[in-house]
Amino acid sequence: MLGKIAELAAEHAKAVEGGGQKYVDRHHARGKLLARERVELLLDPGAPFLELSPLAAWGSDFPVGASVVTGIGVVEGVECVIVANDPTVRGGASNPWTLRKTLRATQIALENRLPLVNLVESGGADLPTQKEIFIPGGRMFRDLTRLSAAGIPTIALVFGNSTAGGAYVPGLSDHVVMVRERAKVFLGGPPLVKVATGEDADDESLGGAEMHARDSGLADYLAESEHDALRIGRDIVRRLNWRKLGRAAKPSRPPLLDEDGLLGIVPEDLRIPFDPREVIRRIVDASEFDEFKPLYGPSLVTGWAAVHGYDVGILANAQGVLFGQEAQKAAQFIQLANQSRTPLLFLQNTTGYMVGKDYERSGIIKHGSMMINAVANSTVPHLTVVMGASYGAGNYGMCGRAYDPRFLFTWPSAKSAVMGPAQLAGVLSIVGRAAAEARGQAFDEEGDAAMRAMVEAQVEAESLPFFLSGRLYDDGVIDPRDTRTVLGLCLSAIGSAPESPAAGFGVFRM
Amino acid sequence: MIRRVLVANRGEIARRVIRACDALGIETVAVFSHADAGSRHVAEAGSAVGLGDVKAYTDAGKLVAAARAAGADAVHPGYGFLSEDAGFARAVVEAGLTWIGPSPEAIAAMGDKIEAKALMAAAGVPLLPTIAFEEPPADLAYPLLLKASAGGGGRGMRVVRSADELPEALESAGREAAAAFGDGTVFAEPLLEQARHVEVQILADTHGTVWALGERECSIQRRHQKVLEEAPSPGVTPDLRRALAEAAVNAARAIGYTGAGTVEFLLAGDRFHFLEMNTRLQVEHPVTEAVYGVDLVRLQIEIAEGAALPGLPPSPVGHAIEVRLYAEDPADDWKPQSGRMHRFEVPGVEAEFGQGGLRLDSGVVSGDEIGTFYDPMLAKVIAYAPTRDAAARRLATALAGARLHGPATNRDLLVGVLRHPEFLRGQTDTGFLTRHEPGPLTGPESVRFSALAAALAQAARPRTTLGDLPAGWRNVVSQPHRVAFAEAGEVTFLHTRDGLRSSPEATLVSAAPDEVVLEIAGVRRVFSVASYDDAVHVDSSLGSVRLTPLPRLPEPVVQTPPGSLPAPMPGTVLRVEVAVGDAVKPGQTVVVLEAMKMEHRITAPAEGVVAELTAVAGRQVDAGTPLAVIKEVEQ
Repeated sequence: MLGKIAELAAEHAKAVEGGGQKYVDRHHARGKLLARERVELLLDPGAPFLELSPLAAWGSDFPVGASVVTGIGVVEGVECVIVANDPTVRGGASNPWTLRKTLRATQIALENRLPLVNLVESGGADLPTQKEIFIPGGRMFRDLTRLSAAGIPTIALVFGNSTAGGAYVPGLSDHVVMVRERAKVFLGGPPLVKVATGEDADDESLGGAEMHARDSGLADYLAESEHDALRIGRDIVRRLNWRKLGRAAKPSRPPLLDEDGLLGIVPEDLRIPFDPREVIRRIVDASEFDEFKPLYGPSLVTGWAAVHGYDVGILANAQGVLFGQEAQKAAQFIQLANQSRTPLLFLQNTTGYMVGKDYERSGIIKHGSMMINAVANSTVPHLTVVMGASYGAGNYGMCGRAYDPRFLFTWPSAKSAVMGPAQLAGVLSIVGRAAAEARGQAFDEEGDAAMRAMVEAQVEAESLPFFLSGRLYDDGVIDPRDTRTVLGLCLSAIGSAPESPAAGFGVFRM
Repeated sequence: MIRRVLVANRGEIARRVIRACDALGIETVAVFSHADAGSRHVAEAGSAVGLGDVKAYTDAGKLVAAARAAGADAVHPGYGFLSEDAGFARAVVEAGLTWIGPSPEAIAAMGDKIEAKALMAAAGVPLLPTIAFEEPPADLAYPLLLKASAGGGGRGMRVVRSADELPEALESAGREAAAAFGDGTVFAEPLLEQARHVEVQILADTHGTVWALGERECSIQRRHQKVLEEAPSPGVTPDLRRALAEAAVNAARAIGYTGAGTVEFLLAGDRFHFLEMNTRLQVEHPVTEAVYGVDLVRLQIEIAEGAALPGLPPSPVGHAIEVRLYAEDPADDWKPQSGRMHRFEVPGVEAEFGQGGLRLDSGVVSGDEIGTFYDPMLAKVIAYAPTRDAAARRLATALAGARLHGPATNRDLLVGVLRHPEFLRGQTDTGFLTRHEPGPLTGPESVRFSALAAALAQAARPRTTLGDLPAGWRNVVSQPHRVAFAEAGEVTFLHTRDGLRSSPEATLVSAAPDEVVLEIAGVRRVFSVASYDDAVHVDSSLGSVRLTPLPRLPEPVVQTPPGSLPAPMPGTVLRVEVAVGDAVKPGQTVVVLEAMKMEHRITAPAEGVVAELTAVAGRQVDAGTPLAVIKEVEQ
């Protein structure tokens, strides 16, 4: 596990590197701060910061991190979503992954009612990939104003270019700060204006900070420097008169068991099951876990605990396979959590629902459907951590990405796919052999072996955490030892929004 | 018998007198000015009388009235203020009250230094020649020391090294003396540069007994102001001690002295010369008290009540050293400092205002506001031990470990002197601090580590939001946390699973908001961190450091345009209120503009002179049209 954590740190370092030393130096030489330097100065000293989707664009043609930094941090005691363009990566231009990462951050702000602070310096869309950006990208502006409509403040601190479409970021934000002689906000730059109307204009008169502060009124505050802009930004948050509307945390005690123990729990070979209680006792308050229905459907562990003072209901796979009992137990437990408005935490290590004649006959599809139905329609916030395997419909039943958990994080030991690589290759092989036999042809054993190896390798690679995180299928890959901290931060963020009302049915006993 | 004493003083000496009275069962009355209404001496006295303005401690009439109002039957003047004012002593006596001090006549006799010297000459006390300036001598030998005839405490004193310097020095010394003592008379003596300042404590009763309680050496002076005193003097032999005592007793007898007094001498080699006699309790009396095991204030009171001293004084034992802790900043030309003394603690104090191995006579306690109206002395710390070395070591260690959270003090200088090899060899003379000016105790490295500790303590403070989570936690680490202090520059740190990564490098043992433990180069050190509004004080075995936190996001400096005053909006110039060449003050109206039926005043941004004036009354101007240029006056 430590090896995988080191690999993770190396990938994070690539994101931090941004556009590389040359561009970092050039940016600094211009007297400008890096995206993460801006974020650090915006945050309260000593407050934690959870960076979201740091591996976005991993495995794509674009640099890891997708030229934007997003995360949840504390500004003047207020938990905010922060989005900061990284201008050292192609001028902070948005590529398709930038867009998906930014939209995810905005979604988190909206779902959890977190004020949004944009630290803007972007050269606009990456033109070669505009077809992937232009049409879906409109959602960025739509979301900004929907946040505002939902009573969630939006703040834009403009440090540099914010032109063309980018101009609508300040345009649609509640509070706008622009840095003197640095911010540049216009719909069309000098060349476009010249082409369109023949007018001669320079950057400053078209979209300088001073012009916007004095003439257009697009800027509410004119900052003298980047530091000044951040100072004003903090002042704005301080004056938001902000109040969290959800449940507050109760006093908490740390787990009795050492977090370092989390490193040794997940076996290298995911076919070997592990006891999730070993994980639970290392992440919950005082290691106290009140198990629900411990004797029924023992392959799924369910029960109540608290994380950093926030009550949670936990569902954790114990033997990988989900049988009928486990699925019904899960459905009942999810309903109970909904009745008490308790957020749910899913700890995934599943190979899916059981297959075979006996199981089909006893209604495994019905039972699995109950569980998926319950997860899909549960209205309490969900948090998901993929610890190990996440295969097949087990991914759905255990609140995979498609089931919209408020947050989803992955351990470096995890793997997700429709089924295990060997099984998938094996299925293809059997199907191929059957087809050959049906055609009366001889089965190419050698070719089959090569195909199996290739398919196995490809599925294996595509089921790994970095690859999936790169495609925004989670909110980040985390060191298992950080799990409690990450969950605590997320639960606190969830508490920014009011609790949703319960659904209209009583709890079905399964 | 005295029943109730009015203490006509403030600060530590008032507290000292109150303690002595308490021990005797005598009631006390304090007096206070506006500035001292919340002071300790007021709280500790049985009753107190407000005198009003800050100069009231020298208003004899108000003091006597206060004594009457509070039903006091005696007055103790302390030192300074009116303690050597014969007029005040007389007023007290005439009011039918007991004056705890020598007779008004004795005070008067010693009050004029020129006359005092004449008296001493007649009594056979060795003297330096006096040079008076009514009849300037033809050829003066330099260097000379100018002195105020009417005063002490260094005011009015000037060293003159050549004839060129004389007129200027005479004038400024005279001016200072007149301001301080109401008498501008100055005289000169030959300046003895390698001399020790030695003084003999006298105690005389009304029955003819005169004690000489040994000598004190007060050579360590800064600008003629004593900062360290000790008893006995390392430069006085038993023979010399006898001779000094004899001269002092003669001096006292010559003027029929009663009570406590001090005869000051300049000692060069084995020759001594009378300087002056202080007809009051001295600031540095505790060192004599320690070595002789007496309570001088108590004896003063008993003598005033008519008690007789035993025939022979007690014998001296051991060595005592006193330092005066001042609120003054060595780094800022020793200017007196003001502000809140949030914390004032000297470790290991055994007694306050009384006998002990480590004694503290303090005018301030934690939380007191230090003003600039009075002498900036905060406290006296006195160590008493069998030997001089032992006393110096104890005092230095106590001072170095003192928690002084507030305005800058001379603590580091005092510790530096106490640890100086030359001082420890007993090579003290009045030029000591001209030759050596011990610097800060803490070097740049200590300041850096203290700053790191302060930053770590700050990060460990409870946070209201996400306070349960590890401080400064990051899932993606991009950079260390940075904290900057004016005195230490920027320190950086990062908590990692492998421990602290920081600049300067250290291993973190523990961090709490008020205490950080670091291991530095293999040595474990505890840093106590105290944060106040404007400063962070860090105390550790590396020394005490005061740090000024620098804001991460400072407010921009207001950019006043270089003197040019543009019209803020289009309008008509209604009036021009200045002319070219006029001096203007900040905020002064230069031009009045009418726009949108409103008058707008265009004012000078700073003090300066009108250099250009383009505005003309009645003329239309656009926004941004220059109206005037103010040339700023260099401050």
